[in-house]
Amino acid sequence: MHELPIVENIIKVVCEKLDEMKETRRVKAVRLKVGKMSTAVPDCLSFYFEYLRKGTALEGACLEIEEIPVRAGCRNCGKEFEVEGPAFFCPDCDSSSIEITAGRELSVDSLEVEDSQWR
Amino acid sequence: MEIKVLKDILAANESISREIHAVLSKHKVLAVNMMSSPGSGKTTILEKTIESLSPELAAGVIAGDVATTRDAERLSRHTAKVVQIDTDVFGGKCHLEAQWIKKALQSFDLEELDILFIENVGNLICPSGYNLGEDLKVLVLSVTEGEDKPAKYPAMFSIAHAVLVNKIDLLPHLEFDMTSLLSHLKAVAPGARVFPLSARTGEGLVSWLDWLRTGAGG
Repeated sequence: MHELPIVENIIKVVCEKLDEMKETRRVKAVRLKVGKMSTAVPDCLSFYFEYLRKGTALEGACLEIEEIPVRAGCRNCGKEFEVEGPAFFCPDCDSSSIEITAGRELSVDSLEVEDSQWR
Repeated sequence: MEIKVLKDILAANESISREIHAVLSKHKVLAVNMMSSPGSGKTTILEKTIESLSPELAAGVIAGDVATTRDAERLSRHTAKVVQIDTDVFGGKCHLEAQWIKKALQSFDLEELDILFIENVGNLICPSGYNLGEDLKVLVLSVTEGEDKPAKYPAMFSIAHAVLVNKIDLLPHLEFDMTSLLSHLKAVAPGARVFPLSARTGEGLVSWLDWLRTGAGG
């Protein structure tokens, strides 16, 4: 359920960026980075985006979501690794002193606009 | 043509969270975000905790009960100040956001407060994504929920500073495997302090209270 306000926020952020750049070309795609531990579900984001884009500058845009795997670094041996299951310890030295370095992202990375002026 | 945006969607929440943290630190108020699934016993734990810390530490509560004011009513018998987050009858909120905490803080005299508990919405998913300016994130897990909850909700458990394992007075009636719970917790929340307790009987509360009294340093 909480993807609805998140998508509202995404549309707000993108429209502000377009205003700021005085960009009037048609937006073809909005690219997001969504970490696997971000609490946002990609399918739900797409569902609400399709509904909320109507009547905005993003009416014809699609949502492209890049899912970011959970990565961690070991404070003990320095090993960097991908966390594949719900177990947060170093695969090399078994230390549980690890730091999550990726996987909580929820950001608008970029936009794809049409190459030519459309109006 | 690509236009780079690079905007964090939760940036607004993060920035208000930092603002809240700065204000609370300035007034030396320890803020504790209490999270759990519904029915784990957060309110009972808070009742017992606040009662036991008084009068040594003055506690306040921001209650995130989204559909009723029951929790706030219960807690107001134990502490001078309880502020209820706006409710709506159907309880549509799935987590608390920093903006609501900032608004609620206006109702407190921070000079008179030592510790502020934020009772989050009962949910083991969404609250993990929203910092509220707290010093400590505390998870409550009751033994009736099963020992595998940390493995099922790793995003939530991984951010906990402490996990309160509540309702241990019921253990004789359950097939609950405490060793298995501890190994699940070790896997997803290796840095968290674990306090098995029963808010109902008071068993185990002392260690949790001591930990809070030392500002979680003990």
